[in-house]
Amino acid sequence: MASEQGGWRVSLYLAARAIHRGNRSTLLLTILIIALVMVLMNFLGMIISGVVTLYNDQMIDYQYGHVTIEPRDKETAIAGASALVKRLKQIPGVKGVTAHSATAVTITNPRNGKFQSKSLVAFDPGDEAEVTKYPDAIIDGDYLTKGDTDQILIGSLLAGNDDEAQDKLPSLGGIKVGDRVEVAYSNGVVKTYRVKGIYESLGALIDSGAFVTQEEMESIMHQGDTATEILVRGPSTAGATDLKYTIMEYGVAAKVKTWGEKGKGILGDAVSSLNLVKNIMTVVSLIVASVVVFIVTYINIINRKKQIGILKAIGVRKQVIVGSYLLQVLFQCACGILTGIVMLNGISLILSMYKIRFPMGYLTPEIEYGSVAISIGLLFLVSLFSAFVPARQVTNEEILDAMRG
Amino acid sequence: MTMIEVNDLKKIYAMGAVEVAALKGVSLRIARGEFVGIMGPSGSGKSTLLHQLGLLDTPSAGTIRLDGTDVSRLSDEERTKFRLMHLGYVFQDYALVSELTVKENVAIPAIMQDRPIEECYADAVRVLENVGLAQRLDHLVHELSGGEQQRVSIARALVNRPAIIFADEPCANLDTENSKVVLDLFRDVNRDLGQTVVMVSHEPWHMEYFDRIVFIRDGLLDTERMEHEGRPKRAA
Repeated sequence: MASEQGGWRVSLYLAARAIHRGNRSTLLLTILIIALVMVLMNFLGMIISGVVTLYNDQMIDYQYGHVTIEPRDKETAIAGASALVKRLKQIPGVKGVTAHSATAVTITNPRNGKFQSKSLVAFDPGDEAEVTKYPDAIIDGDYLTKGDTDQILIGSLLAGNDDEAQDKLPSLGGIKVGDRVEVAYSNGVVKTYRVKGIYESLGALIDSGAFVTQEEMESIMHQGDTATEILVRGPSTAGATDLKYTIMEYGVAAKVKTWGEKGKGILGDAVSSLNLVKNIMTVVSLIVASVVVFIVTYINIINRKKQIGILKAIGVRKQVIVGSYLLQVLFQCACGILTGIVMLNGISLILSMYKIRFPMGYLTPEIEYGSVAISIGLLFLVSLFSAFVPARQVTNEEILDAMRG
Repeated sequence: MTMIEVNDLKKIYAMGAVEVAALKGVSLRIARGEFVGIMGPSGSGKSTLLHQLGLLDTPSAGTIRLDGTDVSRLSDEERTKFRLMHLGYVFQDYALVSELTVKENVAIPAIMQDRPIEECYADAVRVLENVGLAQRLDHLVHELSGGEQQRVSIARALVNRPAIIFADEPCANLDTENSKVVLDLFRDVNRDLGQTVVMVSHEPWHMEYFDRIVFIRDGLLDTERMEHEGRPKRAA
């Protein structure tokens, strides 16, 4: 190879001077195109990562905590819930534990007669605040407090709008704080509640829920010391699996699942579809990069065909000449990639400052450095290949043909 | 002692279905240290002959020995190495690399020999001083006149102290004054360094510089053509 005589040293010597004294506009244009390809390859991934993180955060903050404990198979409730909650709270690393008791109800807006069948969830407001973010999601009225009876917390989508056309999901047709709703329980009891607060997380499933206190539920359903699920918040999202095994080691006689295990079925297909689109975009971007680098290198090489002939005539080996073009492309590629990364970070910064509101909430784009690394590798490979083909083709020409230009 | 030995050299170009014989069986010998001019009318085959001798093209038939090496048997890679180590070239249109300075253009063949860059630059500067371009070292080639560019080309040909220098009409694009400067340089190189110089020319007044002139016409040396035509062979 080129290391034999002159070798990469001469390739580098020629490449450095070609870059330094060559056409600046062409160089800058090539770098810009590679940078834009780099952005194109990673932008969608950045948005998808943001969506996934947003969705995951919503699952953790409103639906599952870091770990969810469910009744064992063939059981509908976890018995001895209060004792279990106490035990769980003593596990090192556990930040909060809340027991949920859910029951099927029909909620009716007596003002307009609209009703929705829902799963009404009861919790201890104090415990809940340590695990989920419902207290922070109140957009109107107040959060529940321990001992609240005859009061209900309703999601914004369930509350809905007076104008049905503005609803994203079937709703009660415009419930406001202070309004009354009728709740028909499965045991036949129908009770009227005052809406104490309306919350909004921007998650469609979450915002179509309703909550009462454990005391209220107990007074109607007499469920005793049971729970349909127990949510646990640990020290970190990444440590959810460790927390799950720690809880299991404590001999919890119920099914223990991380938020990821609970949520993968819901989000998995969506993420797979988005990733497929992202991969298609990556392939298209790579083809664009490959064609651009090929054209730029080809034109560059055709313009310098005579010089290639001269270099061959005076004894510069083909490999050295090809090497010099590969080094030039490596330089262009490296500059393009760096510029692309700066642009990606710039876009990410701007979108973090001026967040895009997606249907499920405000999205903060996240640069996936694993994908960026793959893009860098692929861009280098494609660029080198696209430069190698024309460089090899021209250097294989007869010296005199090349010298004629 | 023979530096160049050519036997029955033929070069046939295929122009579609037609074959054109540019060299029809040339044989010649050039001694070490000779300054030989190849002359002849346009299309006679003088440049083609020089290209075969300089390993810039591959003959269709015949053998070439340069400095004792049968170069006809060399692979493409070996021919490149041979050109680098043993031959120097000066072309009609200077053939310099536009992105390199004067000094870098001259140093390139030396750098290719894997010598330290500073040593190559020192050699390049020394040769450039010899051709009178010491004050133009860091200029780009487009900043030089034609005569100066040709002197750079000569300096590049000399930097590795090759056994043979091939020059293909080096004065074709120069005025008389610059042509004289260039030809004087070749004569000095030939006399002072003892290097073999083979130069193609069509200017009659260049003849005074050559030790010997090889006339070529229709792809044959004059002597060979006379033989072909049945006339007595003229002394070379």
